[in-house]
Amino acid sequence: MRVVLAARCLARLLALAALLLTGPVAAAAATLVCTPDRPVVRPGESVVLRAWTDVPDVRPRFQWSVEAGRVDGIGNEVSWLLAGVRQSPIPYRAEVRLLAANRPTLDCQLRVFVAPPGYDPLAGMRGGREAGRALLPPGQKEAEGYGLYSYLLFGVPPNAATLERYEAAVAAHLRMIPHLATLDRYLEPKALNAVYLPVVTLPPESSTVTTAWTLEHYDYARARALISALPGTLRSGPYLVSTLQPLGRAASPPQHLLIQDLASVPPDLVELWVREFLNQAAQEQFWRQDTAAALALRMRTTIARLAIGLPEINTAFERLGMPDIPTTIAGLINWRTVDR
Amino acid sequence: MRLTLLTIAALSLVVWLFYYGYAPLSTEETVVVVLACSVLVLAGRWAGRWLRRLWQRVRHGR
Repeated sequence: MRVVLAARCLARLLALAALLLTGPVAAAAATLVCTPDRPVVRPGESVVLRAWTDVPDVRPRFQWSVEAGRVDGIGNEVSWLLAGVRQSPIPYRAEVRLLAANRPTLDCQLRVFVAPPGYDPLAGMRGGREAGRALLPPGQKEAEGYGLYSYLLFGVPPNAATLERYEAAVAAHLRMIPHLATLDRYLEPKALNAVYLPVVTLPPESSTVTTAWTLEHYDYARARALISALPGTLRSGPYLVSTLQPLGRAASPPQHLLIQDLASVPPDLVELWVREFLNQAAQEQFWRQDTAAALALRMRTTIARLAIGLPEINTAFERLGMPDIPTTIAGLINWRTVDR
Repeated sequence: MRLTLLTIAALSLVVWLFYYGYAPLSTEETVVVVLACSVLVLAGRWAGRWLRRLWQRVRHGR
């Protein structure tokens, strides 16, 4: 025990000594830091380069040099003009040298990519694909060019037990997703997620598309044909499916796929699942599910599913002459406490 | 007893509030949350006691 304590004290003393010795040396070392205002630029654009130093010189001199293009300005902030510089997957280099009185020179390098002309720096930061719904009547194929293709699929017609869930799925679909035709006016097809719903006929007017009309005119045969293009056994539904290519034209199972199986989701929570699906489909890598969000949603669904059977359990308890669930919990806690 | 009840209540409240943001919970769902939290807390207490006994046995070399 004493040996361990002594070793600990020695280690602490050594650490303290190292700190005292290295501290002043680190403070004395001069630093030169440089950075561009953005790492990627389009051909012909310019980028602002900045340099900082902690050298205690009244007027330090910064000497800039670049691999391509030219430098405009003097001092620690200059513009790098990239007019006439071609795009390249290899970054272009710039260098700054600090010349200060009675000091060794310091160098700092930085790199900037010149991207293709159509490069959009904000493309990766936007909210993702916007979902728009459309009906898919017989004989009509999915329009080409959309960023993503999604489907609300029912494997079989509803029965008394599943009707409420089907209705909730269609209602959420109609309520949460705007018309694809209206979104087409404002957004590029590549930025859209076309959510299709197969139907046996088109309605006389778009305003007549209601939950009841949709379920009445749903094309279950086409839905089965679309489901057959998916891997696994999907028999009942509702299913929400997303792929990069239209399912109706897919010769083989899609490489990237997102499937939400709503077959066991209580009707009250269907809207939550549709919302989660739309969020997931909006991601660039839509096939990679957010594990935390999926787990939380599954837990919430489990709570709801367990709660469905609770009144029956309580009734059964009463019929057997047993105390109800709250009394049972209290009894259990008491028993654990007495047992201790 | 009091500590167990308080732990169950606190855990149930946290879970209930967390899921309230998803969708408001019905009375039955609230009962399920309390039940699940009770089971968790009681199981935790039991496991803690068992681990403590095990540790004491290992410590005394028995």
